[in-house]
Amino acid sequence: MKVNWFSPLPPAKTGIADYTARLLPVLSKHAEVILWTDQETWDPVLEEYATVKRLRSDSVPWRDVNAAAVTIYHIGNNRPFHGSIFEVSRKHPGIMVLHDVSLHIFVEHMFRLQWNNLDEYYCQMFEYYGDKGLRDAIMFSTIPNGVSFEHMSYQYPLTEFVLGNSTAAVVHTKSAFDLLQKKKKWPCTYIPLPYPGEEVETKFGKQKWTILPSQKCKLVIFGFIGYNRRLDAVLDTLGAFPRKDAFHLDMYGEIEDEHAVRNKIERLNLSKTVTFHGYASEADLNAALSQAHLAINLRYPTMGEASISQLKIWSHKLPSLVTPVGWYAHIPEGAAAFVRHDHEVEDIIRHLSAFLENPDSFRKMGEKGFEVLRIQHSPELYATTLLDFARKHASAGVERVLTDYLVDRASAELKSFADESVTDASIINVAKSIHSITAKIDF
Amino acid sequence: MRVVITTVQVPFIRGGAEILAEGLRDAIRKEGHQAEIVAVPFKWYPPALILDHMLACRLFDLTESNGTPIDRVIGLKFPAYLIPHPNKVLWLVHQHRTAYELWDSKFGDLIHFPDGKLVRDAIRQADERFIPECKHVYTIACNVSKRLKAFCRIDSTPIYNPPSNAEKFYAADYQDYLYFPSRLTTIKRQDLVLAALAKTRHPVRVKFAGAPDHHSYYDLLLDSIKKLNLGDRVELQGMVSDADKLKSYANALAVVYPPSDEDYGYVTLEAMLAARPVITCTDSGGPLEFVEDGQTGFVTEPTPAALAEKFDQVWKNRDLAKKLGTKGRERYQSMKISWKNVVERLLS
Repeated sequence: MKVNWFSPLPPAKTGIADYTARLLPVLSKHAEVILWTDQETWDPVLEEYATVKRLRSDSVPWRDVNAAAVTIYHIGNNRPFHGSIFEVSRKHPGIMVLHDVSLHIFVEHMFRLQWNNLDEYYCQMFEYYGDKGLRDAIMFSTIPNGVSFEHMSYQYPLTEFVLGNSTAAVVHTKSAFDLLQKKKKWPCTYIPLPYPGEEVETKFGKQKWTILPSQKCKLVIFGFIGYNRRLDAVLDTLGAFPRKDAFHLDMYGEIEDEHAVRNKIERLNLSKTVTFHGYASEADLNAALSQAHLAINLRYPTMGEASISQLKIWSHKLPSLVTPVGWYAHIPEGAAAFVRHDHEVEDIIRHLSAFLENPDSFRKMGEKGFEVLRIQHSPELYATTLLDFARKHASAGVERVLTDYLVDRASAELKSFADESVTDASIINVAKSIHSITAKIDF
Repeated sequence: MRVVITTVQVPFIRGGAEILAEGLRDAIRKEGHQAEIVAVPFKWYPPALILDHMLACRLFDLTESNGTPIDRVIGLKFPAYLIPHPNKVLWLVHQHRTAYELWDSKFGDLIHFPDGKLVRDAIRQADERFIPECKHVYTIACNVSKRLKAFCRIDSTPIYNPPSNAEKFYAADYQDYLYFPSRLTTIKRQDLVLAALAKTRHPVRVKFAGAPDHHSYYDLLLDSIKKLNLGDRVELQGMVSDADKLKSYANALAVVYPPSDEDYGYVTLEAMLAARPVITCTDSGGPLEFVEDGQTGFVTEPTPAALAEKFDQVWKNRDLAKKLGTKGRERYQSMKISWKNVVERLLS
């Protein structure tokens, strides 16, 4: 089966490019993959597994696109990475893999920055969310700090707008699946995000964990550390924790407000307990994780997306503290320790104390996480499930796109007739005819 | 019986399908029934317009006309055969071919559009759903039945019909030209014949009769004639009268007819009626149901060199042309192709 795969590609700095690179070797065992990209460069390794074709949204070689049995689009919230992909998807129906559940920011950026058409953004907001949506959209786009981006993302995800021309949807979280299922508009499936579950070398191996009094327990936080990563709560806890000297926290990545964080570390007298390393290469980060005892991967609020960082933690058999919201709420029992967002300090203290009392129970947590990764997030399973779903819905899913087209077309014509001439009977007749053309046939 | 024949009309385009519809109407009337052709205007680009036409056809009501029931609808072409009727039979000229076997061929058009695949799937879905509504499914040729079975898994029975004015065809002296009467269009492959002419060893001449579907193809042919230096060996007659056509058939040395995967092809039958051998190709579809290589004509590979060889063979051997042409006429007569038979089957 030939598959069009529209996705950012390495070296683009996005997790979705990394996801494609990780999945491609497995995917290419089951399908002939054509990678489409508007990037000028890409990692040449990709071409060992797939054909890479350049994409320009204003001159797409449709014959080549149509030559594939299935087209799969990858959409996330970052316009530079997904803008041209989305534009193609609006012309050529296909299966959409949603890497973010709420796509408000992406859509607003498309209208404002790509299409220079805020009026249409307002129209869409009114169509999907009524007066309130329209009012908030105007405030959001015209008044600095008028409405927060979190508010817009939560209240007005615009997911339906993005999925408008798609034949089916793939999501990576149960909650996103439940949300789309309720709409009953697209065939939808939930496939846990893939991540290789190969055995990795950890410092502590499979032996029972014991922490010597002279030994520091290594805590680690990595990634983009913004407000929602709850660093304040972690630092407050460490600052107040009587046995804080038993721990050392290493942070890798980028801190949203580094200045404020450094001030706080100093104020809480945590300079010797906390080290901020800044950006780390993949190799350095892997080395750091293999030396760590416990990862702190809190998120609140969260858009509910599946977390690559959590999969990375599990791949190192690391125990972790997570906030049980969104995707994290569905983590199997024992594969992570939960920190309630409204009892953060209390829960962190409890878990750190437990760690010191019984570190081996946390080793088991890491083992359990690794098992979850290996079984639920297998790239092989992901690839075959995705391709099966795509094969099934490549043709059958067109019924909704066809229906939308014919309904719009018929209603546009009917609108031009005098109101009194359009009877219920004639509308029913049109509706029945549309249904007779578009109702599903399994090929 | 009051019978309506549903087909499509592309304004200003006239070919075999139009002749077939009129022939059927006349034949039904001749058998004492009332018959009308209802032709739906058809434009296939941009592809979404095809969906509009499909919907329009499903909304038509042909169950009665002016208070009197219509007893039978005979569907001929897509999307006109989608028009519902409780006593509909299909006599399929062809499906929308670029949604099927021509999808990714050089003749494909839908494949070049972003929504081409969507429209293709809609057409296929509609055919699979609505063709079985028909009481009986007939086609005009085995080739059409074969495609219907291959793509839609629908069984059908071919019924051949005679060309128009079948009784007026005659044979006369064999003169120095090959005859190729057909619309000038890529799928009929007049360009292939020109390329073959450039490769003959003898000064073979070809008369082309028929109007171009599109000026671009006509320009391409003129350009080829010039480049290949064939000006004195090619005649582009354009539209000709019936009398001129009959005469051209009657005096031709042979008839050339190498279309790409033709549905049926009246030209083959007309040549046989005029006792002319037919030179066709292995991928020409319909003609292969009638032309036996070396018996009633020649079947060659669709290459200029292969065609040129056969052109030369007939050109230098008139006796062979006569022998094959006579056998062709005998074969046609043995097949008992008649409108009466067609009408009986379609109205049964």
